[in-house]
Amino acid sequence: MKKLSIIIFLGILAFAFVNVQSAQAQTGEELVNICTGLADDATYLKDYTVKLSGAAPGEDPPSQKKSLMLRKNTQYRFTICSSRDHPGRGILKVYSSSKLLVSNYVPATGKIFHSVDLKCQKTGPYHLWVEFEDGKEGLAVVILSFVKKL
Amino acid sequence: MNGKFLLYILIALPLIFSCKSSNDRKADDEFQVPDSVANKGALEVSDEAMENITENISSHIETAALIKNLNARFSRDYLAPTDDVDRYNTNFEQALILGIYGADMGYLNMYNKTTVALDYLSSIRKMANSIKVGQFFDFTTLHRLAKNNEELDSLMYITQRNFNQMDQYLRENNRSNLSTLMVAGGWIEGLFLSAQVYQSKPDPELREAIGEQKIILGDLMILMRNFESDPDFKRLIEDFNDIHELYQDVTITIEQGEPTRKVVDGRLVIEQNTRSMVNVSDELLEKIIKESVEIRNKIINQ
Repeated sequence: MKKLSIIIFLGILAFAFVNVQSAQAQTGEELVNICTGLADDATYLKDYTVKLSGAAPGEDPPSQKKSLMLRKNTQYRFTICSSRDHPGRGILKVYSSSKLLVSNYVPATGKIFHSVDLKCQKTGPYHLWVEFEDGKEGLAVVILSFVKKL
Repeated sequence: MNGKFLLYILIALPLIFSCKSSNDRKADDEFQVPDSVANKGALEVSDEAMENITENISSHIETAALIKNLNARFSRDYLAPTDDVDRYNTNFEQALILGIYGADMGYLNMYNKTTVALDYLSSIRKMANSIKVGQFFDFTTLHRLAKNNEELDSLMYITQRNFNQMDQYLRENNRSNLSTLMVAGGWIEGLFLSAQVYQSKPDPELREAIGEQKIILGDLMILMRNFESDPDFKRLIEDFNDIHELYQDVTITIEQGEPTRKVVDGRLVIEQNTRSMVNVSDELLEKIIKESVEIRNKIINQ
């Protein structure tokens, strides 16, 4: 009987442990909600979740590409939020016709902005690339939102 | 031996259930895709390309924002009717009309027309349930926000997010055909709304917005042609072909320039100095508008 009580206790303990762990882990869904709030008064348009493993020594940082359509005379906001459960801080880059147009990372100062606005003047497809600082493993959400017509 | 076995079971059970927790909504609402709506045959365009193309089709909010920015008067007459939604009884029709209602909701939300929006929310729920994506449509919250005319930002956010989730779920579950129909419905309704407003308020920016749909329509045609073995899709593509041909005569030129960067109130702001310019003649614009009305009305009256 005593043995059975210990077994049941261990089972409950395991259940509690696993559920506390899952409750604390930050999900992509939570990040979307947090990040949408950080976009301030801009109107949510789309979200992109990116999860990448760390780069092996000597390798380029892994990155993930998403496509998006932006319209002329429109101010957009890109907001990036990185999960606290992973070491990497997210860096976003937006390319237009293979040319870097937007990044939240400023190499000269090493500063990473959590959001960056683009005053778009060309309607067309753009490519969003997301990677993590120093090729670390990471989970991030990018929110594309609408600020205003120009 | 029995005690050890019980111990393994007790430890394993929470692990099993906790693994399920993050995806419980998806798993609980999983369903069998009927043969009539599942993708038929091999897709000519890869899933990744499909995703990229779909993501490349811009949001309804931007069209609605452009219209509102012109101080154009709100008109319910522009919107697709919701009084006879039960007439749409195939998944093909339901996905198309869901896209149309999505664009109408963008317009209603932009003008804060929450009372009218309530009708659309009910119809959207019905159509979403019919194509088995109702689990992504948070009707209760949206209904409360619209009814109480409160937290309009949240209303707009949840509507847009729910539509994105429905679209993503369809694409991830081998039902890109329905996702494509939602996109097509939303696109034609966005063009229809722009065209209606242009006729009463011929603004050059709106004219350009109608003309630049050439870029989006090109992508949409690729998406739709992927399913042209389906007779319903074939008919829809034939209708869209007419407007696609008209758009061939719209010209878009690009003037190159270097971007400028500055920090405003702690936020990095980038100004793009490359500009796109759209040229569409009056005669061509009139034809595009006429064709958009025909296609859209054919869809809602089917």
